[in-house]
Amino acid sequence: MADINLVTFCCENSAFLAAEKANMPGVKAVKVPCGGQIEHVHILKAFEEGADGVLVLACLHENCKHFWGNDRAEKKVNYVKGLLDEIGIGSDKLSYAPVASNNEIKYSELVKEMIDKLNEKGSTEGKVKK
Amino acid sequence: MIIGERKPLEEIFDRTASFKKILVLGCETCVAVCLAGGKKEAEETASSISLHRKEESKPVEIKADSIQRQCEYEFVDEIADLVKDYDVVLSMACGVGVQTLAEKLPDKFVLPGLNTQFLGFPLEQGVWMENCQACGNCVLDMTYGICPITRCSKSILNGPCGGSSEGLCEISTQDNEIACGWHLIYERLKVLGKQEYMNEVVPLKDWSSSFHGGPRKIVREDVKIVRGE
Repeated sequence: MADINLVTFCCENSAFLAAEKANMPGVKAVKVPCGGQIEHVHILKAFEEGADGVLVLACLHENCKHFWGNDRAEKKVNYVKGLLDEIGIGSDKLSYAPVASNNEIKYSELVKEMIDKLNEKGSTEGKVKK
Repeated sequence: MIIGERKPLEEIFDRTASFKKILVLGCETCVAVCLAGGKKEAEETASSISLHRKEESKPVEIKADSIQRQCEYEFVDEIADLVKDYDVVLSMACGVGVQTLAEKLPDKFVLPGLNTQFLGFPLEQGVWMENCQACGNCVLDMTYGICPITRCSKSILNGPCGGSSEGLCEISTQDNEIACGWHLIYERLKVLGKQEYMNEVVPLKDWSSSFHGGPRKIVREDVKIVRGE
């Protein structure tokens, strides 16, 4: 588990507050102003810089401060999953989920779930070790 | 504007496989607006190539950049020094941009990163539709703003044909409904109160201005700059 590099992109209005409360060592929580602000390239850059897995976590359905930011985040994640399959990394190393600001338990569960999945698969081929 | 779509990554990986230094160059005009080849998409493509090369353990030096328009020499000049450091330019512009780069950079490999699709407009966010075929002899004055060359599947000038049914073209399928161009023209005339215009017979179109005579060229002597004058 200690060898897995996991990056979570978290909306500052929801998942990031849960991430702060969960305070999981070794997991990089990146604060974003809204799930909809995450671009495809941000996710790809995380993998380029050594992430083994990426979680994009935004507000609950119909609970986005900016109306559709969470829906857009989910669509973008689905698009990047396609890219990851084409690249050869595999779409299962990226996941989207809605997380409420007071639900650090769900945040921790999602992180553990992803780390377990990545441990089964092994780390990203050819990644830059830090 | 010109609408494009990024080529499948597999094709891009394959075509760039032999190069060690790649410049992915976006174009900030038409293809940026249709979210296919602007700076963001150039960065995304560069990142994808870089990750793929890591997977294959074949490192690559790659940079993403963009210029305002790849289809004009003045803008291409801006990257003249930058391209010297790279073996190949993967252009995210339309076919016009790719060829302008190739013309301006004769000693450099220039590859297309997009499939140029058509001249069209954004119907809604994420949907683009063709509405001009650049036939060189516009008939929109005779069809009141809806192009029968593009919107009618048969490009007929005196429609609709017998295949029009409930506003749809006969080539429509359940998954892909295609509006009958001539039905659209009729509906537009109805709004304008001029249905009788449908009775006008549009004469045969002069197609000599279209693509069939090879690449077209427009020369304007009044705006040409003659050196030394």
